[in-house]
Amino acid sequence: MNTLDAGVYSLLAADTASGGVANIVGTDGDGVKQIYQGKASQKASPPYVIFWQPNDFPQYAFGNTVQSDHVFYAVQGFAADTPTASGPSTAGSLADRLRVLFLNPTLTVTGKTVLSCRPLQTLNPSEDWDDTNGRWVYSRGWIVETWVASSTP
Amino acid sequence: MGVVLVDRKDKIIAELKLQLAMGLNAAAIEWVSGAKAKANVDTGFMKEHIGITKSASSADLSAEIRSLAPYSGPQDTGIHGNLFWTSTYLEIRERFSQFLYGKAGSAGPGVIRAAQQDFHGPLGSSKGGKP
Repeated sequence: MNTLDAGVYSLLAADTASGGVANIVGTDGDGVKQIYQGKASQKASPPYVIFWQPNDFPQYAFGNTVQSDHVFYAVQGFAADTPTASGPSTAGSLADRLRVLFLNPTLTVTGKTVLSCRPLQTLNPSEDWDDTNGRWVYSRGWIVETWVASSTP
Repeated sequence: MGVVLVDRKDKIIAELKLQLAMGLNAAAIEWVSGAKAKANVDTGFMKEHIGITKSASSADLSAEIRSLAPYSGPQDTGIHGNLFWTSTYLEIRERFSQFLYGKAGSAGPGVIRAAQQDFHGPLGSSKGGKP
């Protein structure tokens, strides 16, 4: 996990208020918050959130000195039907919260300066059949666009 | 001494359209190549069925790329998805202006040629019309 990954994780994990991401997802079988980088734990159960960085485009000056990074994150909420809430509804609530959370957040990245962070566009909503548990898992999420300067001011 | 101004905008527009069509098709080829490289492979059906389903031309400045396997969506954003399509889209988006206008954001040689013909006209350099 690089410093930007750590900043994104902290932002998600700290959103513990009612309706917040960490509040909605709860903890998995190991007692870990269900916010994962890349892939969910095998002990995870929806709802959970996955984030990862599909693309990083370094921005160069003359001499190929890196000035900043144009980084995209995918942040997805996954949810299944429960007796009290439908999966699409919970996934939608997560996506709504992610949109608010990633718009100009206080994102701390060690050794770098975050110039901008904003939701760029939604990810394609999906529904996957969970064969093991005989249920559909629904997902909604965002592509988040960040610009990170390579040094602190 | 005299100058003849000739309206050649129709030729310039035609060359611009051709340049844009070539740029769109280059972007489409790159998209297909990138998505194939990242696609999850089990039987290989999905990877083999990512392709350009419509190429751009001067008359129709749009291209279409499709992943025809019906499970392509979940393979992109589902629980086992790897964003093969989304991340390729982001790469192409980042470089899209380069595909269309070239690295320097300039017109292509065909457009420049058409514009130069406009500038020089019948008294231009090709007929020894320099002062």
